[in-house]
Amino acid sequence: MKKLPLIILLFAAAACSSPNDTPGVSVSPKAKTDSIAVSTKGIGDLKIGMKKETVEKLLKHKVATPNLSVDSPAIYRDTVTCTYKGEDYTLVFAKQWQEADTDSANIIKLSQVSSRSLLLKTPSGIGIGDDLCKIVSTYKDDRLNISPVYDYTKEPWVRIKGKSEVWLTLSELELDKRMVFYMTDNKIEGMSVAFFESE
Amino acid sequence: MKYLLLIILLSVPAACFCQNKMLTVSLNGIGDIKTGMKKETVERLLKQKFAPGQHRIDWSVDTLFCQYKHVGYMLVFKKNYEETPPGVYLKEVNCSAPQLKTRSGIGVGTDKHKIINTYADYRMEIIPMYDSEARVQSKTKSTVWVYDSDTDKVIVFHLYRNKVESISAALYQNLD
Repeated sequence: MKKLPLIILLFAAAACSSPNDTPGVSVSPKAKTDSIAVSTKGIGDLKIGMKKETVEKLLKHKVATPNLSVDSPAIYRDTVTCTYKGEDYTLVFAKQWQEADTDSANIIKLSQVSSRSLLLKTPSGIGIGDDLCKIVSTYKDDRLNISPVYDYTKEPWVRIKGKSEVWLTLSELELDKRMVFYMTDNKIEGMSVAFFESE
Repeated sequence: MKYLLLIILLSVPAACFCQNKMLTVSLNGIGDIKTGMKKETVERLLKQKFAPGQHRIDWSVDTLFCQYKHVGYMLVFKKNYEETPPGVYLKEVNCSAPQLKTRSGIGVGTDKHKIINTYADYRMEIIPMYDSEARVQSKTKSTVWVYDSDTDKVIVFHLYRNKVESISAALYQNLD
């Protein structure tokens, strides 16, 4: 019985300490470890507009984008999948064609990042499993585009039952970016952040 | 008691009459007024002429207000420059009458979420409105656009505090 307070004290100390804690910053340990922030900037540490080299440093490995080594203006994007901090991501890299007459034409940047991680959360609290009504209520002041998803491999295109996408444009100042919610039977099963111009 | 029975008997046909006057909104238009109609056809239907000077139909797009069968409408006409000489056709018809109903039962006063759930199979856009003078986003007004996948037709629900205030049927290509 004498040891019980000691055990409680030890548990409390263990719960309060974390190897990544920053002194003076109050962060809920649960929120810190249990969610990956999704914003118009990107998903977690992976931000759209990052140079390919910066992404490689973050992932701690080289990323092969064979499509982008083809010298053709028709092929300007390449999609790769990766795992970062135990979560799976799909990354789309794009060549910068806006300044094709300069050296910046060779710059490859991250134009889209997608994930289906259960840890994804927008600043407004939207996460995997939330329904369309919650998106509409949460982003009631923002522009939403809700589209059915089609199977483009078939001719004519066939609508994929139960699948849809919700594109969100957060403000007039960020019209070049969009957040996408991938829906199945009206529930979010994945999210993506992308530039508009890379389409 | 006899009077009560008489009132009931009289109110039943009146209710039926009101129901018959329900205005159907579809991707094609509102009631008899269909988008894509030539200006002359609309004039014949409404039994009135739209003078170019008066309503500026010499401009590429023009908006005017009219009454048809005791219901007020806003009509938007647009010139078709692909024709020689350019013809004028109806690009949008808007109405806020309480008897408006889509085939799925959406009408004036319906909640935004009901629209979203009803048209879940269609491409939709929810667009906040702006005060054109101050360029400030409205806190109370927005629109829900329901698109036809095969044509350029759209139904636009104009919302005030998330409830339908009026409905438009329109052709969205080259919307100005």
